[in-house]
Amino acid sequence: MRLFILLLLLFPFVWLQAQDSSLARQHKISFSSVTQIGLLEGQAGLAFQVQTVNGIAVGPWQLGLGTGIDKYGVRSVPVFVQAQYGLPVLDRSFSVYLDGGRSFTWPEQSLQRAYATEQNGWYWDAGLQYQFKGKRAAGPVFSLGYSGKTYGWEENMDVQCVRAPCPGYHTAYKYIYRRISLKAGIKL
Amino acid sequence: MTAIWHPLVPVYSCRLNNLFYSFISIRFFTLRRATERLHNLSAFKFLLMPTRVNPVQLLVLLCFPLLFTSCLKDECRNKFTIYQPVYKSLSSVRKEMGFTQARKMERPGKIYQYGAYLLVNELWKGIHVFDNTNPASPRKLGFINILGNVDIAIRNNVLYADSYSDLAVIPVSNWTEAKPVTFRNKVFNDGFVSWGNQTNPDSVQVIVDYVERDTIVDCATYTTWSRCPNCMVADAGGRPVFVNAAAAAPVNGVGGSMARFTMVNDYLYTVTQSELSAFQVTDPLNPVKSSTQNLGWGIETIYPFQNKLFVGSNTGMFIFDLGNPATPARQGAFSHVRSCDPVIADGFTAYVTLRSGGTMCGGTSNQMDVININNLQTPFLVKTIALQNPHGLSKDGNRLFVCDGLAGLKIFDVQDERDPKLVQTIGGLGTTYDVIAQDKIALVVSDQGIFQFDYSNLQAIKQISKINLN
Repeated sequence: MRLFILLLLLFPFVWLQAQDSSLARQHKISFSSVTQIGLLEGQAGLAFQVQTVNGIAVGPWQLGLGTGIDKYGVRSVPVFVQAQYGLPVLDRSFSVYLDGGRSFTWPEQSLQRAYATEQNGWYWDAGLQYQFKGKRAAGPVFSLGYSGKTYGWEENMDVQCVRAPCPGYHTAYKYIYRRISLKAGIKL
Repeated sequence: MTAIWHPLVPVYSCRLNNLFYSFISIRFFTLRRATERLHNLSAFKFLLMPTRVNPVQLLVLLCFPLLFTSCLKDECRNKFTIYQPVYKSLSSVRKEMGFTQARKMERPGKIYQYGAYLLVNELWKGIHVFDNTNPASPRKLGFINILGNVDIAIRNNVLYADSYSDLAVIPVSNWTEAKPVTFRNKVFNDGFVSWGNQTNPDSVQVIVDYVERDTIVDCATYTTWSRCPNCMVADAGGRPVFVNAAAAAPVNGVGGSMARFTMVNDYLYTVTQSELSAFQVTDPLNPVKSSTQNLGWGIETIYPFQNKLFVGSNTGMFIFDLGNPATPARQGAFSHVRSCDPVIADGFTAYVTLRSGGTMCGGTSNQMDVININNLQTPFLVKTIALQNPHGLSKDGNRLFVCDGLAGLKIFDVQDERDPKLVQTIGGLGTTYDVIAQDKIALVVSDQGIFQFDYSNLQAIKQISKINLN
C-alpha cells in the first residue's frame, strides 16, 4: 500500500520531468523556509502538528532539514530530511515532497510509566504541496500527505507471585501510526 | 485554452480543475482518445503557464483524501516473556547452599554493609560478597548460594537469610566456609506456598529457575493476567529493590530503608507482606520465633530507631515500641494515600517516600513526606516535597540522601530537619533504588550496578567506584 502511494506520487513527477528541459537548466541557489501547522487524521483520531523545514532551493529541487511537534498517538518531535521537487505545472505551484527521519518521543505526563523506558522511532511523510504564488516568491502553502511514525516502550520489573521465586516481567510495545497529514503555512 | 469536457462533470474554467479532470478523462474516456491527448503535447501547454487557483476549490481538493482515513490502521505489537518454572526438591536445594566462586551480577537486590564487607543480594539466588576495605576498589570474594533469598541481616558473624518460606542461619566468620547450619521452616508464609501440608523437605518442590520464551502478539489480544504467567499480583515496587536495615550496634550490619529484616539487640525482626515477626537470637545459631502479628496486607519495609520499629506499608507508617522486644507493641500510625513507601526516622522526624508505578502499591503520588513524630501516638505531616519516583533513602548527619528513580540520587540539607532543602542531584546512575549513607560513603544501588560516593566534602561529592552488572 505504501509503495503504491509512493509510485502514485512519483508518476506525475517522472512523466512531467521528461518534458521540462527548459526549466531543468535553471540552477539558481536560494534559501527556502516553510513553516506549517496542521492536522493528522488516522485511526487514533485527529491530532495537531506543527513543523518547520529550512534548506536550500536549486531549480525545481529543494532540500531541507525539518523539525516540529507531532501529537498523534504519543507526542513526539520529528527531526527529518526533506526532499521536494516542484512539478513543472502551473508555474511550479505544485510540488511533491518526501520526508524521512527520526521521531523523538516526548510523552506527556499521563503517558509516563515508572518502570518503562520510552523508545524513539522513525518518521516519514510523503505528499503534495501547493503554494499560492503571487507577485512575490513567498506565499501561503498547503500540504497533503501520507505520514507515519513508529514508537515503542519497554517495561522491566520484578513481580510478586503465588509461588516464589517470582519471574521477572518484561514486555515491549511497538506502535506504527499511519495518518493523513494536512498542513497549511507560509513559505519564505 | 482547450476546455476538456466530460459528460460526468460540469465544465470548469479553472485550470486546476482542468488538470484534475484531464486525469479523470484518461481514466474514463476511450483508450484511443486518451492516447491522442498524451501524444498531442500542445494540449498540455496550459500546464506550463502561470495560473491562479480558487482557494476554496483547492481546499476541497486537499480535504478529499480525508474521507479515506478510516482505511488507515495503526498497528501495535506486544512482545512479552512467558516463564516456565523449573522445580527441584527443597532437600537437594539446601544441599547446594553455601559459599561458591564469584559469579556475574544479573539482578541485584538488597545491599547490606557489614564492617568492611559489602553484600549484594542476587534476587532469589543468593549473595555476592565483596571486600570493601577500599571503597574505591571493591573486590569480589565469592557468592553464597541461597536459593529463594531476598533479605538478609547479620549480627555477630551470623547471617540470617530468608530462603523461600524458611529462615536460614549461616555462620560467616570465615566467608569461604559459609554454609547454612540451621533452618526454621515455614516462618515466612506470604508468597511462598511450597510447603503446603508437607512436613518433610524431601517432598517439597520449589522453583529454582525459569525457562523463558518470548512471544509476540497483537496488543488487542493481550490481557492483564496473561502478560504475567505465574503471577497473581504484579509488581512490589520495581526491579531490584529491597534493601535491608539493621540496628546501629557495631556487631551488626547496616542496610537501607527498604529492608524487610532488621536486628535490634538480641532480636531479629522481619516483615512479610502482612506479618511482623520477632526472632530471639540469644543463641545466634538457633533463632526462636517469639511472636507474629498480622498487620494487614501491603507491609513493605521495617526500620529501627531508638528502641522503636518504623514499619512502612502501602497505606501508611506504623510505629512499634520495643519495650517488650519479644512482642513489639503498636504505638502509633500515620496514614497516607495508597503508595509504595519506605520510611526512615531520626530524632523527632520521620521521612517517608511515596511512589507510584507499582500495580500492587497503587496510587499516583511521587513525593517525600516529612512527619513530626515528637508524639509517637499522634504523628502528623509537616511538609511534602514533590519528587519524580522516590525509592529508598538514608540520612547521615544533616544530609538526607533520596533515590529518586531515574532522576538520580538527590541530596537534601536537613539542618532544619522539618524543612529539607535540595542541594544536589546526581544523575546518570540509571534507576536508583536504595542508598546506605555511612562514614562519608554513600552506597547506591541502581539497575546499572552499585555505586559508591565519597561525601566527606559536601561541596564536591565524587563517585569513587562502580560495580557493574554482569
